[in-house]
Amino acid sequence: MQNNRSLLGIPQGAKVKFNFSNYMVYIIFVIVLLIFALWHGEKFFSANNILNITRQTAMISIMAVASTFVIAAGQIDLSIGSIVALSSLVTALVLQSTDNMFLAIGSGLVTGAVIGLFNGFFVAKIRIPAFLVTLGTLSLVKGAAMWATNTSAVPITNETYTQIFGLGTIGPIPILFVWTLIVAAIGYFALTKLPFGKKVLATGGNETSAKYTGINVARTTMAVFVLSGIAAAFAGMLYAGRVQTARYTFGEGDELSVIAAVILGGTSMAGGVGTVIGSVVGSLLMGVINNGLIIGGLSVSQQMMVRGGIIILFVTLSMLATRGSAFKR
Amino acid sequence: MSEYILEMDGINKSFNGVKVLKNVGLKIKKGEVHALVGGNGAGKSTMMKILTGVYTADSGTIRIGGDPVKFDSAQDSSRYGIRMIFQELSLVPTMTVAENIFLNQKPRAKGLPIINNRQMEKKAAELLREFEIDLDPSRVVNTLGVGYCQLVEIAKALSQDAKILVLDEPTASLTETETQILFGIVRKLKARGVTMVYISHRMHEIFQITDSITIMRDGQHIITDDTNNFSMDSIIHHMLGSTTVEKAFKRMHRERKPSNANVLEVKHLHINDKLKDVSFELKKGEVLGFAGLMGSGRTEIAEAIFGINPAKSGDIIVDHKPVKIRKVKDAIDAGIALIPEDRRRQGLVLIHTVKDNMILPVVDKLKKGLGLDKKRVENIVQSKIGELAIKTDNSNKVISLLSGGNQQKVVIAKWLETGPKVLMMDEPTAGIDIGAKGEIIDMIRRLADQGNSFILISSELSELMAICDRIIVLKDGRITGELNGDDIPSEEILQHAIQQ
Repeated sequence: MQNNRSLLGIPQGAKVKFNFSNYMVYIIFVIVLLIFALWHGEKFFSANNILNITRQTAMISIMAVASTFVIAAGQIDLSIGSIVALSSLVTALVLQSTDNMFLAIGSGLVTGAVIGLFNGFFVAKIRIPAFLVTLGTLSLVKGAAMWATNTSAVPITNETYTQIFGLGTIGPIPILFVWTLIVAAIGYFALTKLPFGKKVLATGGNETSAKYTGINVARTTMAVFVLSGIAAAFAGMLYAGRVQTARYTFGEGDELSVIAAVILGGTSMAGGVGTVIGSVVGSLLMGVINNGLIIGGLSVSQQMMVRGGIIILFVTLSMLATRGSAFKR
Repeated sequence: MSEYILEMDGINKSFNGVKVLKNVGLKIKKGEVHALVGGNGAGKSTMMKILTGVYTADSGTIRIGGDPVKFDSAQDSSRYGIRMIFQELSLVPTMTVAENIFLNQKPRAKGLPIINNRQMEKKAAELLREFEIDLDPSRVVNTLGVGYCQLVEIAKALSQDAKILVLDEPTASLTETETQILFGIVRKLKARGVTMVYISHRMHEIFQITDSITIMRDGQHIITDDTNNFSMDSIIHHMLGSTTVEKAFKRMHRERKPSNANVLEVKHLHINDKLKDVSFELKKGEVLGFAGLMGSGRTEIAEAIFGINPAKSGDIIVDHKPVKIRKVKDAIDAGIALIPEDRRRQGLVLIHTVKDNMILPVVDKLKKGLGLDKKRVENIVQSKIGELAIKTDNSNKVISLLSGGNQQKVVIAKWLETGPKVLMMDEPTAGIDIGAKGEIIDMIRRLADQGNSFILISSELSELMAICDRIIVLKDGRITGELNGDDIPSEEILQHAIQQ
């Protein structure tokens, strides 16, 4: 019973009783697929297009996995978009000057980890709300990314790198989707099967009680921000690999998609409840919507408006299902 | 018009199927100061929350000045001039004294929806002067001490016409001077014909300031009479009762006496400005009670030993080995556990399951290979559910759906699993029904007979008397006495020891 629950991505820590809201993201997902199928027919459902969607959503999915920990711990990380940009540039620059792939990957990931630690320090030790800290970091790191190359792009010519981190395939499966599956598996395992996951959920569910239980709340909080930073850095490396270039514009606005995906997936904004698989399905949903709108021929401005509206609509639906009614509390 | 300004009759109230008020009546004469007395859980606060419309009674009638009324909200009762000063202060800390006093009824500039600050401060100053409270109305509340906050709270209640004023433990956080200011206010209000209900555990205050007394116990009305007709002993006797409680909390002979070896020694612990020098020891297999009023330092001592707010200096010695406790983890590693005072806030993650709550302190030890050892988790949870007779459909049930008593058993289970040498319990039976209280008392007795050592903090003296081998009496941060559990002739004696 417990196994099926967690495999379906039902939030860990939530009620055992059947709860409509736990399946909301899947229901919405199916409905959206149906709508686009009726609208676009084969153009949408071709193998090519579906693989394309998994390619486009990989980075959002990977960041959503880490953000599940952040949000389940009762925090939020708005700085991920700018970490994407800076890490992609750091990786590309190191690669350009040394042509050492491992050094480049290491530098990129460390960049993300250090920024995550910076966020975590101010949230957990100085006790500034995560919203403010990471909003500041967003601007700080974005500025650093623009300054690093004076806003110019950095090309990546190392083909091994671009194959492993962007363009390659394993059989017909895009490597980006393989990365998504690996990160999701690690995240799922860590949240549901490791002591660390239990500590994250306890900290988000009731910080006082966690403290009275001997959990190092500050360390747990810092750890989720470091995770989030590393995941964003990895996403930045994938963005760069895919287009063989690093740019400071990568990741712009991704925090919105990521947070929407996590919340749609069933992770509680209040903390204490989280589902990694829900988050991945949530980001696939966002990707499907983007893709469907592009095929539908909407302009970029129209896409933005529709996407924003859809996020509000779906999150409302999923909240209503949780609460039973909009007006009763 | 009747002689009584307030008549509450046949009031019943249940929470989650537990009856907390049973057919309670309360009659209060106009213009008197009426004391409402009873132990924790007697139903005083629930009764007053029904009067002020915070709760609605399941059945019963309320009459104000002879007219039946029905309160569905705090605004309803407020319209009849009923005001209550709550224990939990309801001030906005970032606003000024004046703004707080007039929070709901800010004086407006003429004809405009703009607050007239100058007029508001002038009015506040008048009000404060009237009650001889020496306070600048433009001060921000979070710069004031707790005592002055309480006085501001009272001024706020009086800013609108009050007919009946309920004071719930108003002196709990006041110094002697502030208490005298408060009594001055009470006398002034009485002279003006305001009726007051005064809830307090402090006997000498009750004799000093009240005209008549109602005593409640276990959700029932016991007696109402003029204050002059009571003595301190008779009040305590009525408060504690004799039959039901005594049966559940009868003192039993220990199967196994505590050994002479000290499992815990605390020497010259300096915790804060109030608790400067705390020393005591706990023997293996002993149940040591901490008795004292709220604010006597009981909880602070336990929390210092457990590393929540570590002591500044002094020694803690467990099993003859000195230990440094700077954080909770240190205490757990040293073999110390604490069942905290506030089960819902400090003890449990309410939105999580019984299982997840139970394994949380030991989760690091349950690693096997890459993940958790499922079999051991299941074994622990099932054996603890059986051992402590925890009533739950299954271990994956969300803990907030369990009764208070069963929730508390889960908290105890989670700490027993750490194999503690010293188990401290802070009000372990607070807010749970009498049956579960008895079970928990029995559990402590049984575990102590198996050689476990306990520190039991409780406001329920009958509990301390039932199982403690020794009782330490605390007052204002100092240990003022030590009693042998077998030598306490009556609860009255213990009550006296705490009060004096």
